[in-house]
Amino acid sequence: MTDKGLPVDFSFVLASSVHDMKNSVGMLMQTIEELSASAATDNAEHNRQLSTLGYEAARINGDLVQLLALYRMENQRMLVQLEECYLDEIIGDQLARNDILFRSRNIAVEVDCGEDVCWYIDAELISGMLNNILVNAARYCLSRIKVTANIEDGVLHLIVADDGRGYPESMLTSPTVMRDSVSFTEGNTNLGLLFAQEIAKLHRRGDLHGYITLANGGVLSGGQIEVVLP
Amino acid sequence: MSPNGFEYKRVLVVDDFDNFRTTVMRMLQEFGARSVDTAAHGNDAVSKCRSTSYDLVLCDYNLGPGKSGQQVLEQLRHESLLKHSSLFVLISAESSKNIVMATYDYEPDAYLTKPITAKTLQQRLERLFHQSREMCKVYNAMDDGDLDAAITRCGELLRGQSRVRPLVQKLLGRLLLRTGQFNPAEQLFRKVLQVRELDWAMVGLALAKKGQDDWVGAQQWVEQALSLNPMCMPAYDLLADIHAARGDRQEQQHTLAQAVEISPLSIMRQQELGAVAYQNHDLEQALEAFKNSIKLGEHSCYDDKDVYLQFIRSCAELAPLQPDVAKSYAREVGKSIGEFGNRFGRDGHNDVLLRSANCAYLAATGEQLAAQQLLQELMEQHQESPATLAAQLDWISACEVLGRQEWRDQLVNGVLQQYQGNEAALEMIDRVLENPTSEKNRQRVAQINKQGIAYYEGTDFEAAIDCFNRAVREFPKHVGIELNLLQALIGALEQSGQPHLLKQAKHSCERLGQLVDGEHPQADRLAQLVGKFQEVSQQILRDGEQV
Repeated sequence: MTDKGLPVDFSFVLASSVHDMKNSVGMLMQTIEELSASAATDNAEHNRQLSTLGYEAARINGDLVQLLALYRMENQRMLVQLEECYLDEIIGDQLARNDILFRSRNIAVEVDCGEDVCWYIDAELISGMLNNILVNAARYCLSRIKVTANIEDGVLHLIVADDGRGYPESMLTSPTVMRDSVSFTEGNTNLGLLFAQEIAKLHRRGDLHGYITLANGGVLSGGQIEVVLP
Repeated sequence: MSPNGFEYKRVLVVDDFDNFRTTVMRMLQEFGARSVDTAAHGNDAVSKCRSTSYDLVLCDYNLGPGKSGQQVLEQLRHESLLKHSSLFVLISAESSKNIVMATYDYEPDAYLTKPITAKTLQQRLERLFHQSREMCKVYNAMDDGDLDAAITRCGELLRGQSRVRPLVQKLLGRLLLRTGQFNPAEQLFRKVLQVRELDWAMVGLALAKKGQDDWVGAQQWVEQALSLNPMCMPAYDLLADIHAARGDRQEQQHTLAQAVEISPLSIMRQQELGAVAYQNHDLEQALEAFKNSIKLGEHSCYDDKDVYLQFIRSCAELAPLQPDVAKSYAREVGKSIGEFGNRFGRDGHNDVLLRSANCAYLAATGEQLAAQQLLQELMEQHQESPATLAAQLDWISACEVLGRQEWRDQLVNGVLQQYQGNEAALEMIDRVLENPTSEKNRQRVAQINKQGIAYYEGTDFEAAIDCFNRAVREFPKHVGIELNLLQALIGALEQSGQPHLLKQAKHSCERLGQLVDGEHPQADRLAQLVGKFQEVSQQILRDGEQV
């Protein structure tokens, strides 16, 4: 027993709880999904409520996944397992996963990715990251999202753009700085960006490593996040 | 109708939640599938697969009590109940490391994480069906056992612009290795590695090198794979093989232990670790690995009766050395003895094996009377026809502990005669002997002694101690080696007077006291060394007081 209080490493306790919570949220999401499938579409109010349930559960899930991943990174157990993947499949899976969210909010998602865009990525990590970016975009866009993937000069560019108000100035200048005064009321802790940045960085090739950039304007005149992987 | 042909697919959905089975079944029917079966438990799933050849098995990882999804896959592959073109998709609510790493040994065709939406499922399955269709010529050839044809088909697919290229490359590599075409395999892996450093290609290249008897090259590539991905399980297995081939069992055990730590749910690796640790006389690690193997074997097709026996035996061997540790396994040993008959049947052969191991265990854990009685029964039962070697070795161990020297000698002479010229059996018998009789172990002892003595004569006592210490671990009953160790320890004490060596030398004297009685041919040498040790240690203690 240490005199600091807890006899165990708090981050470990946290990670274990997060793991457990994630499983529960997974069950929750599955049940919501089943409920949505079995409930008829005639009650618009119910559908809207179900969609809110689904969206909030997806957000919790995304946060928990990020927390776990960050915990693993800190404990150096996070390894990238690169495999050749087709980007249209990765993108397609994440769009399908959030299909109900997009439809309930009347968001039109456009994909610009050639069939032959194939790159060396850790599919699980990039999928998780893309999911977070999409859920985030769904929250801040007006009605459109565009996902682009292409290979230029031997690096992969994965871009998600929306037609919302764009990122606040402070985030554009230092997107992954965890500020002391995290704005809990806005529900934005930058955790997602930090996560994306770290995942991108883990993708290495020789001396190069991946990174993310944020911009306003972009193809849909809103916010735009670009993930660059060597 | 769905253009991707769900219509004619035979599908099996496995999940212990009724709700989930129905949901998935409904989804599949909406996609156009007509033939969807369901199973609630692993055994049910396996027996359904025995009677029906499914094109797709959607299986949850967590199936409640009984087999897990991984164990279902393990058994389906083990019994070849899946065609190469069949798809096994593992669904789980979590992507916990243990689960993913354990399934890596028997890789499913895809993983799906809950929650599953209709659209995700449809998209993933259509893609998998498409892939499987593109690969059908390769898979058909593999199902026919015509690997050469499969290799040709892979080559054709690689020449076209196919989306299955990454998959085909991997498969082709495996097929080339399996058919012993190591040069083409090496070329393929090198081509992949030119574009990108990928762990599987490095392991493939290492396997190709091993196939060409280039062990150094194999080790280099496998180590490179591990530095790229320290969780690359096939790399650990290959590295363990490389150490084994070099005869370095310590390193083999070390590598397997590392792999088991990363992927503790893989039963076969646990079993192998147990076996190697037992050979290395590292009984603590052996016990732990055998215990885990037994636990994992509860619902696995790889459950193995020898593992049970080895577990009991290891505990018996450890009991006199570390009674407390052995005691902590008592409950599990008792459970294993009780379970043995249920799991592997109670025929005469099994019965003798279990009672023999139990006899050694009872003797070693202080149940002398029960052991004595069991031993007598077993030996009477086998007066006419000799028992298996494993059983007889257990009796020999029991005799030793019970002090039945005559019986012991009789049994030892019996097995030595019975297995004369059988090198593998002799190596097993060596475990109960003071001096090994198998060619391999005799050479090993000679080699160690020669090396250790050379160090000793060069007054490099530290190297000599190190050498004999390793040898003592390998041959714990060998009096000559232990005496050499003691002599080297005394040499080092005389040279430098390092007090930490005193304890080790004292321990060595004690062990020798147990191994050597007055009639032992080396008794004089022991007495001489003990005398010398006392002299030296007193001198050191005196020196210590003066300072």
